[in-house]
Amino acid sequence: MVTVNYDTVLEDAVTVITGLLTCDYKLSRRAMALLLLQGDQEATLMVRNIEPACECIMAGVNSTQQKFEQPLGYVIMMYRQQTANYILEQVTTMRQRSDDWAGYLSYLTMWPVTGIPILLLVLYVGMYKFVGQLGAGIVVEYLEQVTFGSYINPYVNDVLESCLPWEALRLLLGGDYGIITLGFRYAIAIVLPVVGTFFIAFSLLEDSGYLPRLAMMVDSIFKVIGLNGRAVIPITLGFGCGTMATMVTRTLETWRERLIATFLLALAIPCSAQLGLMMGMLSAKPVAMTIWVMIISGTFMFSGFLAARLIPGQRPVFYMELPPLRIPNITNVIIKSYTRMRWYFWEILPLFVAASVLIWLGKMTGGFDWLMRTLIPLTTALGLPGEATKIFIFGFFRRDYGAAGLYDLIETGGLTTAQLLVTATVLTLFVPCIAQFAVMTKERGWGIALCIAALIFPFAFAVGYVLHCSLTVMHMLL
Amino acid sequence: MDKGKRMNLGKMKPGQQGQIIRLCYIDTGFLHKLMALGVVPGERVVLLQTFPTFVVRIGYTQIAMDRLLAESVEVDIGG
Repeated sequence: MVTVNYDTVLEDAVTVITGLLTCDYKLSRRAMALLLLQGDQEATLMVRNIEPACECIMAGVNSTQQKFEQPLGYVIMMYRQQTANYILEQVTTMRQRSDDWAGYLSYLTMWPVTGIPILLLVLYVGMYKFVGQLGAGIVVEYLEQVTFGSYINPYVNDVLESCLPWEALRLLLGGDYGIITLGFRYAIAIVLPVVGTFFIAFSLLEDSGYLPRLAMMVDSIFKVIGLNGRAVIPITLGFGCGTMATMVTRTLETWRERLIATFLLALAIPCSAQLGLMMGMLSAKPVAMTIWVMIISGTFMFSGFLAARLIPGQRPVFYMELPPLRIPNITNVIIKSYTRMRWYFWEILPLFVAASVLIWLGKMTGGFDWLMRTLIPLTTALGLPGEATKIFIFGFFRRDYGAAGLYDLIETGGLTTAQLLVTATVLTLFVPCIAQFAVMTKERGWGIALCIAALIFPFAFAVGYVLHCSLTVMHMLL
Repeated sequence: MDKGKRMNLGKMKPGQQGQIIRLCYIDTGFLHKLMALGVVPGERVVLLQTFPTFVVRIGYTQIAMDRLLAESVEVDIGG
C-alpha cells in the first residue's frame, strides 16, 4: 500500500479530523478526512447528517483552507501527483514514440485545412450516402414495397377477410391503419433500416476515435449557440434518434447547456427516420432541398444564438481528451449497433402499435375526424390540402410516423413541390414525437418540457406560413 | 530552481513547450477535471496547435481545450 505524505499543516488537520470522526464509513477515517478537506459534497453531507461533532469538523476544514492560497482539493492533488510521478519513475522507462500512420492521420483530422474537408467527407459518406441513400433509400424501398407491399400486407388482409367476420376488428389489425399493416410496417420497413444504418455509422465513428476530433473542429461554432464542442455527440446522435439524444444531453456539464441542447434537439434536429425520408423525397428537387436545408440550419443557428443570449448561466468551457485514432474493431461495432437497434426497436414498436390503436379508436369514435376538421383551417392557411392534416396529427405520435405518412401522400401524387417543401419544413420543426417529449419531461421536468413545446408549436407553423407566403409571392414553381 | 520565462498556454506558439507551473482557473470543478486529464503542475506540456481549439500533449495524452482554459494554464518555457 502506498501512503501519500502531505505537509505538516495538512497532516495535522487530518489527525484532528480523524479523531473527531466516530461513525463507520466503509472507508478509512484518513480517507474520509481527506475527502472532507477536498470539499467533497457527498462526504460533507454524510458527516453533517450523522456526526455529533460535525460543527467542529467543518470548522477544522475551514481553518485549514485559510492557511492555503489554493483550494485544498488542488493542494492535495498536487501531493498525490508527486507521489504518482515518483512511483512512475521507479518502474517505467519513457521512449519517444515515432509518429506512425495513425499519428499522421490524426494530425490531418485536426489541422483545419484538411480537417474541415475530412469532416464534410465523413458526413457526406456516413450520413448522406450510407444512411440516406442506402438505409433510407434502397433498403426501405425493398422492405416497404416488396416485403410488406407485395407479401405481408395482402396476405394479412386476405387472412383477416376470411377469418374475422367483424369489420371493426379487421380494421384494427389490417387495412390502411392496422397494427400490422401500418404499425409494424412503419416500424420494421421504414424506421428500422434508417436508424439501423445510422447506428452502424455512429458506432464506426465512435470506435475509430474520430468523435472527439469532430468535437474540437466544431467547438467554436457551437460556442455561438451557447454550447461547447462536447455537445456534438448528443446533437449528432439527434440525427439518429432525438429521444436517445435527449437522454444523452445529461453528459453535458451545466444545466444551461443541457437546456439549450434539449431545446435545439426538439426544434431543429430532424431524426434519422425523418431525415432519410425528407432526403428521399426532396433529393429529386434540388432547389426545394436547398431551401429546406437552409431553413432548418438557419433555425438551428438563430434559435441557438438567441438561447445563448437569453438563458442565464455560466459560459461553456471545452476540454476533451483526444484518444489515438485506430481501426474500428468490427466486433465492437456490431455489438454496439445491435444493442442500440434492439433497445430502439423494443422502445418504438409499442408506440407504433399504440399509435395505430389510437388512430383506429379515433376513426371508430369519430374523434379523429373531429380533430382533423379542427386543424384543417391551420393546414389550409399553409396552402396545403386537407390530407396533410393527418400527417401533422401522426407527426405528434411519432415524428418519423408523420414523415412516413408524408411519404405515402407523395406516392399518391397529392402534393406539389411547394406544398411538399412547406410540409417538410413544418414537420421537421414541429413538436418532438411523443417519446422524445416523454424523455424531455423526465430529464428537464414538466415545466421546461411544456415551455419548449409551447414555444415550438406556434414557431413551426409561423415558419411554415411565412414560407408559404413567400413562395406564393415569388410564384416559385420548384 | 532557476525560473525561466513564464506565460500562459494561450499566448504560446504551436511547437513551443514547457513545464506547467500552476492552474489559475477559478472554478474548482473544471480544475479537478483538467487535473484528472493530467494537466497538473510539474508536467511537461507541448502545444501542438491553437486553431480551431488548443491541442496540447502531456506525456502520451493529447488534450483539446478552448482558449479560456488554455489561458488558465501557466507555463515555464525556459530561458
